[in-house]
Amino acid sequence: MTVAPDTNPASQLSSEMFESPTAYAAALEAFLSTDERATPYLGYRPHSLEDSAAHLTGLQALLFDTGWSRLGWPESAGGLGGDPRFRAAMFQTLWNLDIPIPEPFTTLEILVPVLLVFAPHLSDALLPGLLRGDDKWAQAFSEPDAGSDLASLRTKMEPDGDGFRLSGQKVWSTFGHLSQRSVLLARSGGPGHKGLTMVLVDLDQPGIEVRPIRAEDGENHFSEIFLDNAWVPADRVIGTLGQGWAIAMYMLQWERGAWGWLQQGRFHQRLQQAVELGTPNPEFAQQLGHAYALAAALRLTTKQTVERLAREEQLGPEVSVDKLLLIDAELATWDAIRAYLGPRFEVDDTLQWLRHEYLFSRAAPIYGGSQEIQRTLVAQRVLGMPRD
Amino acid sequence: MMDNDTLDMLRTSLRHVLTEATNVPLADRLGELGWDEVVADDPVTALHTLFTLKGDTVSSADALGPRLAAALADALGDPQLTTATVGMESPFGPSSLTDGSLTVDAVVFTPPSDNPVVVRVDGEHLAVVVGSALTCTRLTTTDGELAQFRLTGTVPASQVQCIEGATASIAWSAMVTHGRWLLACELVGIAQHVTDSAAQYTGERIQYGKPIGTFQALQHRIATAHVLVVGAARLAEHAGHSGDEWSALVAKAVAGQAAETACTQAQQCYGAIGFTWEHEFHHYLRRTYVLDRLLGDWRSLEREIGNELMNSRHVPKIGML
Repeated sequence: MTVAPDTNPASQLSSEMFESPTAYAAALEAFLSTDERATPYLGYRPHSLEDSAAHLTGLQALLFDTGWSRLGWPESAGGLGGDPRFRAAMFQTLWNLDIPIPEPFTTLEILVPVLLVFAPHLSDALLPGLLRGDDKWAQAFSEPDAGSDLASLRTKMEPDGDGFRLSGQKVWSTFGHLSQRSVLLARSGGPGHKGLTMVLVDLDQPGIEVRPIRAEDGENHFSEIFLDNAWVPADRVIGTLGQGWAIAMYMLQWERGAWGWLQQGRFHQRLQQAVELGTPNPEFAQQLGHAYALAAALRLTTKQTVERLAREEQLGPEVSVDKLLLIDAELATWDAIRAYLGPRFEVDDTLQWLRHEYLFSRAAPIYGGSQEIQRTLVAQRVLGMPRD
Repeated sequence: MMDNDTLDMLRTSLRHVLTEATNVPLADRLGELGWDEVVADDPVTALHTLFTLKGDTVSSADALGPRLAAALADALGDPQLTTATVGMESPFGPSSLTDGSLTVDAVVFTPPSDNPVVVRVDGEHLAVVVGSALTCTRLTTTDGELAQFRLTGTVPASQVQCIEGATASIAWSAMVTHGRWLLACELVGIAQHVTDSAAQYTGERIQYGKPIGTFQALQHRIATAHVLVVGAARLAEHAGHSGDEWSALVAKAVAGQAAETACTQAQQCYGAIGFTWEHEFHHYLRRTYVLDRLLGDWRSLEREIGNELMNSRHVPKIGML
């Protein structure tokens, strides 16, 4: 493990914390539960997604300035070194204290590893600002006619001087309307996988319009992005021309693996909230027990995945198992919580935040590669069942 | 800790021992392998491997009985009890100690001779009685090959050693935890075998001019089972390493469910052949039903988990980074 000397005077880190994620997590928990700068985030219940994004930007900056969120990322990303288990330990600690994870952290988990490998020339200039939350990035992959069938996407990318022009329409871009830049997949060549290229595009330019989409829970989780001759300079290509699909596949191991660990922390925390709020009733025992058992299975499965990522193993199609387990655990957890809390769940003002999370959980089998796509991948590429 | 080569050799030897046709008790055959030393050296890996393979091969050898006795003897600090037969809860009625006599109703895997039998009485104490004082009847079960026997009888209290209070409860819990872990391993072995074997079968069976495994309807059935099996396997591994009661409880709950799900999905992939004795599948299905019932079926265990969460108002986390 390479560790940078932490010369930041505001740093809360000491050398022992670099030794193990457990020691780090214990120290972080002590910091967050005693330092008054962290108080506004403990048990924070947002009024809207935009309020939450603004409020939690402060937490992201605090965690960066005090060093906590820099452990687990390499120096070239603005980090202090150490493997991904430290990030996983940070997520667990935040959930333990009922502090919402700033949405950009989940984007970081997916985009930063990709930038480090495929666009190291952008890391130094851009990643520290991303890690601190000064800069926010979105992903723009799906299109109205390219959801599960992502390789059929049509957004055009054409050379123009020392860069490219982008035209087309993207959709389901998480936090798009709150982001300054987006990683985007476009068609620079012919049809199929091989014609795709990944770029990092600035969203605040005349050729781009971003419109939020209201999701089932009433919040603007995603956006549509309209591109009309939008500009991207040549040095914002991630990887090489035509490498877009391969990079998207590389990204999936992070999206399906590390994401699962982050989410199991949330399921355990929300089950904890439910048992604190509810009145014991044997009628709901099995449903709660079932949800917990799946969340525990997800925890141990994704723990192993995080440990494999920490050892820099290349993960294969088996990460789809993590994603499928996540779907089962997420649906079971929220169904159990809603059942256990009874009729008040639908009408109690103080439970609005929980209701929103419940409604959002309905997306679990749809986003990031649908449940059906994942099952087909597991059957064919993990279990060796034949392809048609 | 065992290295990978040693583990591979162990797997090969154990697979042979578990599948050979013989009437020699498993304990004696394992003894020839130097099993006691293997267990003493790395008990978690050794036992995990044995029970997972036992599920994989649907071996009917009694591996669990001796382990329950060992766990109880260990927890009670009484080496003499390693030769005991542990009576598990009988579905026909309880064992009780009243009016100066012990009434026994319990289920075991191997008939006792003149060795001690330990049963739980009145849901709290333990009673130890010599096996020859009891009547032993073989039960007809869902699984005709995994032998189960019912022990019954009434014995004067003067011939009974009673272990009371916290000592008894703690020892019994330790035994249940150990047994649940091993059963979880065995159920995972069954579930893995059934899932893999059904996936393979769908690549061989041709209908409409192509392997039936090309149909997503079947691919999704097997994938659904596989996901639960992976989760169950991780929980069973963790239960072994941690040795704690809660992990074993959750591991057995998920393993029972995974094995049942795997059987349900595999059965449909096999179609009619899987419904006959021409095919091995029925052994796995029957074994699943019987093992799931031991030390708590998966639905009961899920209820136990849920009640604990509600009443303690605490949601524990299994496994730390």
